[in-house]
Amino acid sequence: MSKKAALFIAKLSKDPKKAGQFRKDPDSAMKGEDLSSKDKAVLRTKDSEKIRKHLGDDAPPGCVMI
Amino acid sequence: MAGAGVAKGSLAFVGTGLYAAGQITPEALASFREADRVFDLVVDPISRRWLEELRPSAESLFGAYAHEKPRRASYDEMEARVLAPVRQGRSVCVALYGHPGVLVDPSHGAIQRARFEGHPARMLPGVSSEDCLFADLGIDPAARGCQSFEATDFLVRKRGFDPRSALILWQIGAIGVTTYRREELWSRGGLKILSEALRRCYPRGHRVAVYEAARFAIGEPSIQVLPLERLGHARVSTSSTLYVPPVDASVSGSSFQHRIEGFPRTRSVRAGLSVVGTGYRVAGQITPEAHSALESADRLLYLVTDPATSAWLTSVNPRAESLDDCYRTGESGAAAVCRMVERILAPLREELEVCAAFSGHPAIGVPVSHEAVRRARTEGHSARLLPAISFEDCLFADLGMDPGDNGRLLFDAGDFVRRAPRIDTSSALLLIQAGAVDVTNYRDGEEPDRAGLARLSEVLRRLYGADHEVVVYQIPDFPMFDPTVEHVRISDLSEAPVTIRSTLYVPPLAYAAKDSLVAERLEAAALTSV
Repeated sequence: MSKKAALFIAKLSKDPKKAGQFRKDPDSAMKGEDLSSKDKAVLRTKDSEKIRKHLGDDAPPGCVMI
Repeated sequence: MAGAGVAKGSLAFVGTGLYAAGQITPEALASFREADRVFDLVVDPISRRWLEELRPSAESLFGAYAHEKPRRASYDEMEARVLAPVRQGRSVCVALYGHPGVLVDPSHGAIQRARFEGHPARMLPGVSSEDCLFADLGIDPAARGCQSFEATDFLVRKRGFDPRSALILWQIGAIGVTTYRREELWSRGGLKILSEALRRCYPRGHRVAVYEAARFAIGEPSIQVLPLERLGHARVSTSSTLYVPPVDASVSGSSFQHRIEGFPRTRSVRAGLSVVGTGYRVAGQITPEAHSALESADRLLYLVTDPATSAWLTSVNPRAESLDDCYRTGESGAAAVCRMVERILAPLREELEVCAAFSGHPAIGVPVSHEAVRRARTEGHSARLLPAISFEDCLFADLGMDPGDNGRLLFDAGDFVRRAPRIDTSSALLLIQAGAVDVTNYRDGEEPDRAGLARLSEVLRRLYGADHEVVVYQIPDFPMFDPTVEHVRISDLSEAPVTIRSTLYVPPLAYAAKDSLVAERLEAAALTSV
């Protein structure tokens, strides 16, 4: 689990402007953030599945409440 | 057009929930704080004062209303006011009470106009009065299906519905009235006509609830339970919503009444349970009242659909534990529900304050919430469900769909295929868990049940035809991504890019015409009951 990457995403979620900045230019949005180079590389891919895997997962993949 | 040499502004509509300080989301709040120009339309003075405190330059749009002025004219005026600074290159945020896309005319119109002129425009969802109704009445709309209509539209267009599923009618205090009025109830006569129409579809004595959400954090919702025959004489205002439970014996009048009237409004001296929803987009949609419950709980138990939300919850409350280990591959979901309820109740029995948090809205498609609340109350604890941003709130915002326009029919896709409810194809249909039609046991992965999808496609084909285009919608896991929106023909649905979490939006097949005789009758009733 990369907690720093997860909390960076949480930060984006509360700040639509920064999320928009990430969409346009991930590197400028990640500049100055406490993220490892691996975190940055995975986030830069903008690939949900890769990010999920990198964060680790204690959320049930495809949770279905039946 | 915002072409070369023309200033490019931007427009955002956000929802404040029913009371801004307790229900506005962080993403909405950030938009409101940061925009160059801000407008608001809220219905209670505390929310107005609170928004003004945040942005002293905030301009209320309420002045666009005037007694007996056609509401259409007021909406046009509001659109013009918010678009003017956008055209001057300003970023504009408009905060509306409730959800900015539910039963709201000016938001959809202004967003379309801004985009047409080349300005970026978006909508951020808010907690709607229906979200509050689900939480306060303890109703899971996904359990037996739920059909919601604007009351005048329901009568005038003679919308079809299935009494075996829940029925919700909005704006029952304003039936047949197209102007703005100062009075609390705009048409008693319209309410009586509605009562007559419904009595033809339900047995004598069928009990319904007239609901009005709380307007203040310390207030209570107004819930009147009464037989349908007395609806015409009920205390009703323009903010009232009617809930009619399904006709079947399984949700009988007595059990319904018990559920509503047994709701403990007074605080128990024993430890309490708060069941909250986190919305989606990690921390972007959590309401302040839910955040406070997460933070202050002695024990936080959660089940969310992405790992970033999980990490964020642990940062908010170090005593947080995921419930995901209650699932066993190959075992029925019902067994997982029992295990989760026991996990939630265990610390409560030790007199610890417990918060249970779920992705989305905790009352929609989450049987654990309802069962945990029921059991906690039975054991003498106070228990509450707090409303939250649901998947459909996101869909209304992302697809620009107003459920007030043609009504909204909501069903679990599996229930829809198995029970085949009678539906009116002139209304919008939402089917949740479209990729899990025949999935009864828990399994890993997002792969849909293709055989179930084929069955669903066949049922829809019979109703709408093979060529009717539907939308496969999925909220993104992370806030920096866009939702998945795929348009597919019903005949191609079984091979469509669907996951078990996808929602299917089936647009109306045809436009329902107004019945002019009913319209005239409602108009006359509204005139005589002013």
